[in-house]
Amino acid sequence: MIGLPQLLNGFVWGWIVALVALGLNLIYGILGIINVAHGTFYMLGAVIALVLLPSLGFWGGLLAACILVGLIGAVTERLVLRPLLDRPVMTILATFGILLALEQTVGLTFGLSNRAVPDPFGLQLRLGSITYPGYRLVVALCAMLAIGGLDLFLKRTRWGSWVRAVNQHRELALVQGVPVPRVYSLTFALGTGLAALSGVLVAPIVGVHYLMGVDIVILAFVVVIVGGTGNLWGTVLVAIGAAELENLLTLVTRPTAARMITFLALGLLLVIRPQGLFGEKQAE
Amino acid sequence: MSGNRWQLLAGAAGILGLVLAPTFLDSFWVFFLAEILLFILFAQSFNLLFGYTGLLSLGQSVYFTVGAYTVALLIRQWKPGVGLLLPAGVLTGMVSAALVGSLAVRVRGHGFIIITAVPTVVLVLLGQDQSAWTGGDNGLNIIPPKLLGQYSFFDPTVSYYAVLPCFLATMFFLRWLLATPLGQAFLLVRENEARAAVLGYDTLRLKFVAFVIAGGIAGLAGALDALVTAYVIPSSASWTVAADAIIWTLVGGAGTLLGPVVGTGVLLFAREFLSDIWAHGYPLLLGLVLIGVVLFAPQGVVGALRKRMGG
Repeated sequence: MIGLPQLLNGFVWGWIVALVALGLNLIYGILGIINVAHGTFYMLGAVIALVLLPSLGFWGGLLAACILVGLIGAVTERLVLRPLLDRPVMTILATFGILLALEQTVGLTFGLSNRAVPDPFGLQLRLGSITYPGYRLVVALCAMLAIGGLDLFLKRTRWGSWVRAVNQHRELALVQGVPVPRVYSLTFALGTGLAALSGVLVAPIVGVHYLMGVDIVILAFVVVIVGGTGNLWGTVLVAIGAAELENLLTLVTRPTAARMITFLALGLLLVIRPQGLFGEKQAE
Repeated sequence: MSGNRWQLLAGAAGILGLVLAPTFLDSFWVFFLAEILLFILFAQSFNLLFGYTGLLSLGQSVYFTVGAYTVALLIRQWKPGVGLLLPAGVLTGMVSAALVGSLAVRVRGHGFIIITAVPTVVLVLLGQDQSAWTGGDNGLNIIPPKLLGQYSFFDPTVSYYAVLPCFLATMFFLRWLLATPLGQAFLLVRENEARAAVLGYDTLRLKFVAFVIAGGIAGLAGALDALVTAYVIPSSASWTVAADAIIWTLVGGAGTLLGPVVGTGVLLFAREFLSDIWAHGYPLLLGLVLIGVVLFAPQGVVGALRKRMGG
């Protein structure tokens, strides 16, 4: 079938973008931090996994990368970002500083070239007349599980309800006994951990490079805002929609043009509905 | 009173120093100074929006790049003189800013940031896609026309004296603008947009006007950059380049005309010195400096100094 690989690629890439965007959304929604360095944590996940892969295997490396990056995220939040609460513009500057410092540290120690990561399964699926790398479907599945898990965590667990409480009203949550400072650390760790997970998952598809996070962060931001801040499934839908649009457009035009049209479409949506597709209109 | 007189004196000394700089600097530093001056203009473009009107634009690199490519493409097609190239860069910067601004100013808060950021991605991709015109990822080398028919831009002193009047004119223009009722109204929008609206100001139009003027300044900076470096590249539209203007402004001090001058000057000097010693040192150090500024001098260098002097 013509277009099946593009359809599948869009689907897989959409879930990855959703995973990155959800971490960003969580951090922006709860902490008010515009985390420009989000793509850097995504890159960091991929780099750590690549280093640990030989000793821990794929799944071990994946888990270790998420935990390590989450810890780095929590420490960063506590030391650098906590004093900047309620000053979103300053968080842009601070996270850009974090981006530069982490990127260059990785560039210096890990090298500047793109490193390929072998397909962990080497499985090729036969779908009618085409073959498709099975690993990519595993990627989509992992992302789905992580997002479903996040949804359950936020809705069903005590910590999740605390996160949502802080999101709704920080002071009220505090007087109710919610450990707000720890919720901040947890949220940032969770958000950066999700970014790391996406980084590890895409590494076998696109390789690992110290600047790999620069492009995805803008796309993720646009997706968050178009999907509606604080809206989990809105973010997922927009991410998949955008990825499908871009990949299907490559059937009829050049890849750069396809990406350009996708961004224009997202920008246009935002102009038409500034509160996001699934966001509620905010009071003036 | 005497404070004002000192300011005037310092300003006059600064201008005199800039005018005479090529007589006591070697050509490398003259070229470098020309670049600093045009990047200060780029930073001022962001400063006018954020520092004075309260609009956080993540897309000033777009109008910079539009100005630069206007110069490059005009030279390739018709080889007009500098007297036409620079106004053309300002004009296209303003027109493209009007295009984006008319949509962006309607949206508040984070929506505004994103709508200004989307064109950065689109323009870089457009440049890569139309590589026959733009040079794609390799960029485009151009041959600037001779200034006044005889002075070549490949001479750093010529470049410098082409940039300096533009720099001074823009600085004086901004000083004048911000003192006019229009400039004061920008401040009102920054401080309290709702109140400005209640007082009868058309805040959408005010934001739009600020956005267009800022686009023109960025376009001028881009046009100068194209002439001085004889080179243009689509990736200069990237959001990371826009972030440079934000960093220079905020490190120096937003909302002051001196802030971007200090921030851009200090950081570019630091980059130049460090790049000789250690190529990756600058971004690494800049990252740490940013974190330090944010934590310990959130008003920027100029803001912190003012506070200390009790001004």
